[in-house]
Amino acid sequence: MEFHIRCEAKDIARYAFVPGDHERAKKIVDHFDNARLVSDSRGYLVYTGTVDGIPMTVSSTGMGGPQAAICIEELGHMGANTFIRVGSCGTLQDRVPCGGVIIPTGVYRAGATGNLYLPPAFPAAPHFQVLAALAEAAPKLGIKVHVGIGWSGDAFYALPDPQLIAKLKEAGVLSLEMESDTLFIVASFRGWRAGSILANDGTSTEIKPAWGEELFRRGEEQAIRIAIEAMKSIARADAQASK
Amino acid sequence: MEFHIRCEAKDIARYVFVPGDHDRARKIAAHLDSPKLVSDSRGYLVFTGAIDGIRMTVSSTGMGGPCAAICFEELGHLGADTFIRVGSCGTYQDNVTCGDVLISTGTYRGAGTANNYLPVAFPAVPNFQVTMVLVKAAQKLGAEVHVGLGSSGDAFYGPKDLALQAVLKEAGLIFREMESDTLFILAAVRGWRAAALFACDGTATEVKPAWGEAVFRQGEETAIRIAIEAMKSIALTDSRDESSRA
Repeated sequence: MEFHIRCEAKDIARYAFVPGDHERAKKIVDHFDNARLVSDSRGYLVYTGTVDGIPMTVSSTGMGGPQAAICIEELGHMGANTFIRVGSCGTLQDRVPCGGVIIPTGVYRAGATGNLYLPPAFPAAPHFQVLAALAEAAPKLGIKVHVGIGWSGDAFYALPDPQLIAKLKEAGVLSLEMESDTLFIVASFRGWRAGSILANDGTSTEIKPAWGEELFRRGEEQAIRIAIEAMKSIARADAQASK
Repeated sequence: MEFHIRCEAKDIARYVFVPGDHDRARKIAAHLDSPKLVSDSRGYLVFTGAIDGIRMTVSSTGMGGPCAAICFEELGHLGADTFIRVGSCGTYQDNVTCGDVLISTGTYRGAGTANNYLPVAFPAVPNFQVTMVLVKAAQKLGAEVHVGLGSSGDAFYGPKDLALQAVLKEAGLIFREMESDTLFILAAVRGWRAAALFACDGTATEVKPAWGEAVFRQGEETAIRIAIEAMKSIALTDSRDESSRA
């Protein structure tokens, strides 16, 4: 029995979705067959079920690096080794609208949890197989996505440094969120595969505007569908490789 | 006329190969139709020619971030916006050996030049499109490649931090070289597309062993062929995108 996610190896699948939001965990599990709640402790809402017969787990991570790291570590202890974060984000780019879906190819390490694993010079990058599966699932579902660099940080309400923000915008940073850096670094450190897909709930000038809520929800559902399609294709490739 | 590369926009193509080694620049140029030497200054050996009618340039960057950054910047001034580094590398991993070909999906920023552009927290990652095309080109050519993270550093002969090396090996870094971090960070700052692949000339325990030379040269040739195949496919996609917009 793990310290915080109160369940056991038999309850956890190799393939895990790790949204921040508990409500999004429920939305992902709506796509599962035979889903059951396996833990609800410390804010980790964990379900396991199947998609096309493939066992899959979803666990909310909560917000920020520290509890996201505990979540991924304990899921890993129980046998998970392939993670897709399905998150929400803001954006620095004028061309990304509310509801836009973003797949990060690497994230700026403004969060501190990852530093306890690997120095800041280590690139917070997704596993290429997961990244490629996400990027290829999107057009298959007819969904347009933005693929590029993102930013992860620890303080949603801290005052941003305007000079740095301008520099990062210029350097093409697409997404702003709080957990992908930790996910990518912990996964590299442990030898797991991880990727992220994010639905944008803001604009380059507005944080979570009310008018964007409905568009964001549509993007969130698209991100979930892409993540599930990608996970299926990874599982199929794994099955092929183990033959 | 650029300060160091000493040529002009008409001499440089949009699609550029950027090996570190001058001799490798010549080997890449040998694959171009009617390659023309457009500059040989400060160690930047620059050829422009065509492949299947697509204009391409190759320029040696020299070794290390400072001279590589000047090379990328000046090529960019002259109109280049798509870069593939075809390099050599060593390795951290026991399952990689002399002659293997590796494709970067991200690079540890152990070097200093890029810090003048963006803080070390900024990820040195390649453009996804170019990287995907490299992976597919390797498949098409039947070449086995390793795809993953590696490191760049500034001091080939510097003292090694053994504890850090062990951590980086454990974290799965596959390659070690000296220029891809600078390339990826500059590409982010300038809005270019860039990716990198390498032929390995060592093992996890040996630096450039003599016994590995011949297999390394085979790997180098394979890396060049993958890079050229990939660049052709990118140019083809670009021209399709442009004609669908027109």
